[in-house]
Parts: sequence; C-alpha cells; structure tokens
Amino acid sequence: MIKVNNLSKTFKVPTKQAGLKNAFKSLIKKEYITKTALKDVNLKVSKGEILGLVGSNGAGKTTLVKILSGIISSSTGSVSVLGFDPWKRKNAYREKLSLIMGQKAQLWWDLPAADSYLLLKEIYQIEDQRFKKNLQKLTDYLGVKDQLNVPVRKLSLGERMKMELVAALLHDPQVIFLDEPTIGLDIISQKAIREFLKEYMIEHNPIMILTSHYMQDIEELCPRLALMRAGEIIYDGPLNEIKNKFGDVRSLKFDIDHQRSDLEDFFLKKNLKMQCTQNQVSVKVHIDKLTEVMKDLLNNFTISNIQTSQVDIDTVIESYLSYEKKS
Amino acid sequence: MKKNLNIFIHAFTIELRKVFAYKLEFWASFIFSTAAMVIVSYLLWQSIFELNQVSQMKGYTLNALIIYYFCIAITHKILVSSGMGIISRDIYYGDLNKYLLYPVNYQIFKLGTYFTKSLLYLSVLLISLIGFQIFLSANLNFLSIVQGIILILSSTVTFFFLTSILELLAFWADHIWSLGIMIRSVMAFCGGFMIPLSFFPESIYNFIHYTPFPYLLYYPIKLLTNQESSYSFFTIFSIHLFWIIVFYIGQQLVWNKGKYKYTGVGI
Repeated sequence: MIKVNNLSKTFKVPTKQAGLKNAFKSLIKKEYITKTALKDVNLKVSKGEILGLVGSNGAGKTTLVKILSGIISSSTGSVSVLGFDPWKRKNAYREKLSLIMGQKAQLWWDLPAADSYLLLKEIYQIEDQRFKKNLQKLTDYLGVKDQLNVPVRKLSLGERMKMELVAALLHDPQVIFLDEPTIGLDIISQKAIREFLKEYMIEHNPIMILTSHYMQDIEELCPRLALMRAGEIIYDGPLNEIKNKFGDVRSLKFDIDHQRSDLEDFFLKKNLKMQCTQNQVSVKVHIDKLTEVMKDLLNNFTISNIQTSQVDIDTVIESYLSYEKKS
Repeated sequence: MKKNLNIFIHAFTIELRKVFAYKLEFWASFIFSTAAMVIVSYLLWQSIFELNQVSQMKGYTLNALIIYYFCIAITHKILVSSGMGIISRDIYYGDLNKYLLYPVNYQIFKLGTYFTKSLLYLSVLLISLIGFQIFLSANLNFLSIVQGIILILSSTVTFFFLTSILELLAFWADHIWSLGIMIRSVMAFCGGFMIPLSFFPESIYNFIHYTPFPYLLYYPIKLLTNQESSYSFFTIFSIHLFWIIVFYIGQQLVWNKGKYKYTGVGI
C-alpha cells in the first residue's frame, strides 16, 4: 500500500536579474526563490489499484512520483510504500519497485535490449528460469521478440517503449510508476501499451500510478483519478464521478455554408465559444441549454449534419479545473 | 559481496560492449593521443641530449626516457579512463534516476564502468612492454611488472574516488568540467607526466610527495620498468590504501549531502 501524509516539497531555485550589473552582483551573492512543488499532499493507493495522476505541466505529478520512488526527498510529511520509507532506498524496497519514464530511457542506448536485460537479471538477482519465462512472456505479448538483438538506438520509438516496459517488468515489481509511458507514440502503439498494461494488472495485481497527458490512457486504465494543480491534489476519487459531475456538457457539431462572423456573434451572445474547421462547426453546450441552442440555430441558420456527442475526458477535466479556479 | 562483484563484472562487460560498438573512435583517440605525447617527448629530449652532449640525465638514457614517456602516457590514460562526466553527467541529465532505482551500489557500478577502458589500455601497456624488452633493451623483470600492474590498478581505484568527489560537486555546481581539468593538470605535473620528478628542484620534489599524485603515476612506472625507486611496492601500495580510504570517506560525505540537492531532472 502507498500512504502519503501531508507531503510537501519545496525547491530553492537560483534567480538572475537581467543586465550586466546584476550579472556581476550574482557573482558575489546568489539569489534564490523558493518554489513549492508539492503542498500537503495526502494519498492512499492499495494493492491492485491503478491511480491516474493528472494535471497540467508543473502541477507536481512527476515530483510526487520521484518522491514515491525514492529519487528525491520530501521537505515535510511522511511517505510509506509497502511499509518502506522510499528515501531510505533499502534494496528490499527497490527490488519491488519499477519506474517507467516515457522521456528517459533506462536501456543502454548503444546496446541491444537483450544486453540490458542480462544486466537487469543480475541487478535484480532474477533466477534463470524466471528470467527466461518473464522475458519470453513479455516480449511475446508486446511483439518485440525479433528486435531483442537490435541496438536500442536503431529501434522505433514504439519498439523502444515496449522494450522499456519489458525492462521495467522483468523482476515482477509490486509497485509500478508509469510516467507518461505513451508519450510521442502513434495511436496503434499507444493502444498496444494500454492493452498490455490492462492484461498485466489483471495477472499481477500490482500497485500502479500512471501519469499521462493522454486522457485516453487515463480513461481506459484508471478507475480512480487524482487531479493535481499547483502542487495540490484537488480531486481524488472515481473517474466516473468527475465525468458525471462535469460531463454534462455535450459537443454539438454541424455543417454550415453561412458566413462565420454571423455565427460567431450568435454564439457570443449565448456565451459560447465555437470552433470552426472549413465548413464544420463545433461548440460545447451545457446539456440544459442544448435544446434551446439547437432551436435557435435551426431558426436562424441553414445547417446540416447536426450531431451531438459526449465530450472527452480532457474537456471534463478542463471544466473541473476551471470550476475549482472560480470557486 | 558476491552481488557487488557480479554487478562490477556486469557493469564492466556492458561498458566493454559499448566500447566495441564504437571501437574505431576508442582506438583512434587512444593511439593518436599517446603517439603525439611520445613523439613530442622524443623530439624534445633528443635535442636536449644532443645539446648537452650527454648519454644520461638524472639516471635516464634517451631510450629509458622514451620507455618512461610511453608508459606514463598509457598509465595516465588508464587512470583518467572514461574522462570527466562519468558521474556528473548522470546528475546533470537525470540519468542518476535509474541507478537510484536499482538495488545496487551506484559507486560499485560506476567503478566497474570506469575500469573497462582502464583494462583495455592496460592490455596495450603489457603488450608494449614486450616490445620494449625486444627493441629497446629495457631492463624489465617479471616481478616488477606484476608489482607495477597491481600499483597501476590501485592507482586507478584511488583516482576514481578522487575524481568522484569532484564529480559529485555537480549536485551544487552547474559546471564541474574545469575542476576536472584542474585536477588532471595537477596530477600531470605532480605525477611526472610532463617531466620525470627527478628533474624537479629539490624543494618542489619534496613538496610534491605530500600529495597523492607521485604515487599514482611516477612510482608505479618506476617499479613497472624496473628502475631504482625510493619507495618499495608495499610502501606505495599502503599509501594508495590510505588515500583510497580518505577519498572514499570524502566521497561518501559529499554524496550524503548532495543527494538532498538532487532534483532528478530529465524525467
């Protein structure tokens, strides 16, 4: 289990004022500002649970993951993962842990992944039989068996990410942190990795924390969501709850051959913001106003191909964040 | 202990495979830098010998000096091995993250990596000794070679711990390359890389012996090439052990302070 109580983290960041005079000043005295990366974070994640950690850049997601994995220390508060204090970096803890970083490779760039796996076998003291079994299973599932002996630098981004996943899971970790595992991947590779993670969760039941900017990752993998803003967790609960609460917005799409300015004025009067691509218009409308807007539209404009659909999770989270900001 | 040894060996072999992936670059840089050093020294000392009309200076013949420069150039390479950045690069680019996650000792891992190039250079040195014996009538013997090699290896460990203290300063400083260059220059001067220490004025010669550097380069080469030395194998080895302990303690202190400064950039 992961238990985080009143966790805070501040960084001292050096600052430099513009200008030559200030450049000389900074030689004598360095100035710092204190940046709060995490503020009173409380969190509990149980075995078999997968938590989606979401927030804009600088919200504190990666800092939290770094603290949980023992890479950096906290300023105040307490952290316990599987009963260990991550910062003490006990080998018994590190053997049960894995961190997959979408933007940072752990495989040796110039060598085939097979070489890195052999090293990881030694690092994690994986017995021969278990190593062979896990390697075969993981590479079979991810479809990278044929690339095992190709230098990592010659693999495609998708293949490399799959190899990273194999490396991270070879030792059967009980806690897995996934920091943007699908970043930069094409849709097919993203889907393959999501499918793999789903299967892996069912089979191994680890604790998993996933941070991603791709909401589809969150929507498909995480029944629970923690939303972060400016170092704080502002929402921690079921994904469905936030979707139900803030998902009462519909996306209205239609085709039009009228001048765009007329239409823009029309929506501006209704406090709505439209988006236009060629002759297709889309606008997000609250479910209560949907009938009225459609009626007015049909009365005032010649439109065709009208469609309404549920908004995606990005919009839901955006709505939640702006709601939180206002309140 | 067994695990650490395994990790050391695996770190060594993985680095070896990396070197083999770029073998041309590795050997080209080694051969050109060593050849340049030996050729320049040969031309310089040949002129000095001719100008002074002598066959020996401070106990060195021209042949002995050529062997000395060749050996010290390679030994210097063995000591500085992977060059600056073996630890600081990990800190600057966030690559340290992955090592912090592994249940292994980071220093052991890095030492294994560090030794890879060192041992490759050492193999060249050993082959060269055979050549010196045949073509330059060097006065070598088996025991002195074994002792010299052991001392070169312990010098490498000593220098690794010394440089790792500097490299760990990357937790605080944005650039530590200049410190690395500085320490290498000091070692080159005080270790007899530029001129054999016996050519130095007595006061400087005496002062230099308070630093670890003569014992890292100059004396191991003296033993290796079976030249008269004021220090025995055991004395030099004990001095190495002393400095290894000092630098190891220093490195641990810096690491324990610095790890709180690490921000894990690069994720």
